Amino acid sequence: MNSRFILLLTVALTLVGCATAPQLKGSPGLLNFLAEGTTTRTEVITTLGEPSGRFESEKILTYRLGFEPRNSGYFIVEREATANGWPTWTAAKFSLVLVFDDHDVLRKRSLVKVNE
Amino acid sequence: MKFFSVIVLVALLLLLGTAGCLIIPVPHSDSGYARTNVVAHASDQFVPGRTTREEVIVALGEPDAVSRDESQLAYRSEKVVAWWIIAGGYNATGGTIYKNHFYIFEFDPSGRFQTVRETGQLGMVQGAHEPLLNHPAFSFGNSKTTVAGTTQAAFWLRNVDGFRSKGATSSLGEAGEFLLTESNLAFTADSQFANAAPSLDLPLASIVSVYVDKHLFMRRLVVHADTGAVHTFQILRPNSLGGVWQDKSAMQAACDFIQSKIQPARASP
Repeated sequence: MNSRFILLLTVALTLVGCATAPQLKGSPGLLNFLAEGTTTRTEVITTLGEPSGRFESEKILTYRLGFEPRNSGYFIVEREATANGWPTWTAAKFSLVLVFDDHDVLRKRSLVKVNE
Repeated sequence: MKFFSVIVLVALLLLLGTAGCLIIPVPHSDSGYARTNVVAHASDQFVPGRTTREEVIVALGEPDAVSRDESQLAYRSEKVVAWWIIAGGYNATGGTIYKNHFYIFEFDPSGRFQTVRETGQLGMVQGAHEPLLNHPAFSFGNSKTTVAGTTQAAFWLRNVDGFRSKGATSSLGEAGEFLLTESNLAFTADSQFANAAPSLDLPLASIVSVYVDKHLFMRRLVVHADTGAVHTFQILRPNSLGGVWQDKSAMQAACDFIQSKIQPARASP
């Protein structure tokens, strides 16, 4: 009986050793650096990378964000298109819209839920 | 036993009678591929002549398409509206019928919202395309004096020499639109917005050689630039089955056109 218990314990511990924590894609604090009236366009691009959309002579930048519910984190998703050219919103669930003033400082931000 | 035979006979008759195409309407639901935050009456919150383009983007998020001059923003939703089944004998196949809804927001030159157009389109292909906005390549072409040719379906293989580079035969490249003008060769990737510059804008004057490369029955257009860069293109056209196939004549025509624009001595045979 004891030997069976020891065997089971050994197998269980071995399996625990093999297990790895799942890699969570999202970062809960990804957008914490954004502050209206303070954050510059350069800081945004340095932190988030190249935007997926630029409008009105780059006064407006947009990013596509995925959401990881397990840690309530966001992650950047590249613009993906169907074979016919229309973008999909499967991985990206949110659209982050950043509006800058004439001095390239963040004036307004909006996080829009695009896909349920 | 006699009763069982009758049942089998009736079942066979039903099977034979139902052979063909069956369309089953289903309650409309989002396909999961397109956005769901722009629906009918989405424009009610905007005031024509007052609401700005910025306010629309802030409210609805990044658009799905934009015209080159940003006077139009397009948002797309996609619903599953029916299933289709084709059965015959012991074989059956089926799929989904989608309906795309396009909302085209139009703005005046000062960026004020004017109106919204709503259109719909049924299709059996997820993401079915409707040519609503000028594609960047065409707009780019319009900015030149003469558009020599355009093609809406093409692949661009950057730094690949036809079929000769290592792994070239298995490479597909980047999908997009290929455009030739009197002065430039341009390629705009499908993943780009129309208000962005083309992924590739190559002056014809910088091309030192051009040829159509062959591998079995496949063809590719290859251009070498004076910088040492090499670009390969595969031009496609729709086929009768609803798919696409290589357009050999378009690639040869593009090759001939480019050759006519560069010094004859520099054109490869």
